[in-house]
Amino acid sequence: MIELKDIYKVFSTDEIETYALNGINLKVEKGDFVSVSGPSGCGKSTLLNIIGHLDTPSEGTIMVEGTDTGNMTDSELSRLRNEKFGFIFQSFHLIPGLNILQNVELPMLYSHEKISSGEIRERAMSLIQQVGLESRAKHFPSQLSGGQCQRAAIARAMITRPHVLLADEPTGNLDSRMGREIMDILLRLNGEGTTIVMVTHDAKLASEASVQVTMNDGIITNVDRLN
Amino acid sequence: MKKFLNYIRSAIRNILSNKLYSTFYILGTAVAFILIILLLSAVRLVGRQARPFVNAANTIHISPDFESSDGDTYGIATQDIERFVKAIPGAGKYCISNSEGTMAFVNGKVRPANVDFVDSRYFEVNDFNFTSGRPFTEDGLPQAVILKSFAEKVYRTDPVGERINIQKTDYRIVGVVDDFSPLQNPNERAVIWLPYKFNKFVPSGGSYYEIDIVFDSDMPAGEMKENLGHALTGYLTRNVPGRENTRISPSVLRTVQENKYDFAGGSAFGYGAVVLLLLLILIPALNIMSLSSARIQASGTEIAIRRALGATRNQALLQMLSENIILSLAGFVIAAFLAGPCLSGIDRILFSGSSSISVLTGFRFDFGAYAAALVLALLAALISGGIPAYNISRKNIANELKGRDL
Repeated sequence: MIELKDIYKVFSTDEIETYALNGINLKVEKGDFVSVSGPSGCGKSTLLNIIGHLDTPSEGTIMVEGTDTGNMTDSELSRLRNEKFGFIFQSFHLIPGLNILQNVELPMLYSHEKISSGEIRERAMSLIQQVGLESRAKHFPSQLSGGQCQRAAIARAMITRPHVLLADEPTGNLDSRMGREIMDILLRLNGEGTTIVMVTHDAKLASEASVQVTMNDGIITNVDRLN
Repeated sequence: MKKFLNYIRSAIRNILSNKLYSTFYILGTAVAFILIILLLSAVRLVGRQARPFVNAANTIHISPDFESSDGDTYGIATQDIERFVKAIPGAGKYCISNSEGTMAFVNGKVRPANVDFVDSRYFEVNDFNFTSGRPFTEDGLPQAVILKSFAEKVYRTDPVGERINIQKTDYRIVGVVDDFSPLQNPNERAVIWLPYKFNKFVPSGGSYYEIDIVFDSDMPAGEMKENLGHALTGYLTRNVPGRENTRISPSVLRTVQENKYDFAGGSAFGYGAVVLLLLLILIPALNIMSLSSARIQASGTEIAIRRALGATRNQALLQMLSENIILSLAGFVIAAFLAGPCLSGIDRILFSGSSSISVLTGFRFDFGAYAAALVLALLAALISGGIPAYNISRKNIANELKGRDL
């Protein structure tokens, strides 16, 4: 589904070149739940950003569903992000001026899917219901707890029915109970067929993934694929 | 269309959630646009021949005491004026006037008033818009024409038929003329026009009448001046003893149109106005740009989120620009509504204690000035928002999202 071949990411200043990713090769298959763990600064988030095309590699090839994305234009990449990927961030990144319903509907503003605004509203409400926020749909992010915000962010990530959900430390800002709730939602989504790539520090959460990737110093040191 | 409406909706939402910024932006642009509309209107008043001075470009105004090349001053005796004008090649209609500051007695009250003693031809040479009544056609009858703003100040109802006493003579008001601006004719500042035969100032005291001579419209200004200069030189040579060698240079003669430019700041007026206009746009544009920059920088994370969710660079740019365009248009609309009342208010203050018209009297806001201000409004929005928005929409999404909370 997603294949990374010899991916390098170099951050350069005038004096130093830092290899955040140093020759990464990784395959993510349809239906996988991939956890990426490792110490701080090992390149986990950089890897996730490159998979999600939020950043570009300095070198290497990314294949998404058999297509090399290297020569894609800005609008093609935007469409790719919109249609194939759903993003969940550690800081939730909900837009404060929009209520939960509007935040969840937001990706559809950029979607090429032919769908009426009524259907968008219906789909958004259904997702909000699935994450247990139906009574909070008209609330603004500042009026919700961290766990509720993250659930709203999951609903937003799912609105375009993406093929892959990319989660960067989704429980990082939450207490363990809230973190558990989020993990349960992710596991349920994976059970329903959504491919998930999750960056996490939490070894316990990482161990629940079907593919456990460990990184260190910009390289993948171990890949455990559980049957 | 649906997407466009979504941008607008989203932009309005953002505007409403940043009320302080939006208020400053709108007020700042509104003030700038009022100034721009004012300046553009002034430029057009000076540049165009609008009523009542429709012959400004081919009319030469001879001051009561014109200056000759030897630096001395002379005039045309009243009884000689008709013969003098008829002898000038290309000269057509003409009229005489004498402006005096005096007191008018109206309804038992004394009002200071700038009075013009004119002949009835004055209303043929100048195309006044009579909002009520008519011009006086007889120079020997005690009739008066008054300016609209003076009429509104002094009389509560239509003053035609009312009496006004000036220099112990009772005049019957026969007409009210629409206001005009001194920018249209700096020689004219009167609020009351009376027949010249009742003038007690001229020819006493060595003064002479002012003469407006209308030349053929297809005659070049240089030729008009040449002909008039030649005629004046001839008149002085024949009629003023000891001035046989006096020569009136055409360069001292000015058309009404040229007088307008002189009054508004000389030949540099056009350039000055453009520079001023650019400054008027540039200053708020820079201020608003810094406001916009701060706002757009602050919304860098929001833009990065939108881009992560699938917005293209251009969509992100459009999103930010639509906010600026809406704010600028709101500023323009406020300016368009407030420019007139603001100006009238200032004019009332300036005119209240004055016997004459203020520079703002009769200021007209024409469609062209509004249209140009609207274009500038959009330009200001594009300049102030476009540059920072362009930069932010091209930033690396991952970097913008890294460790930043909204």
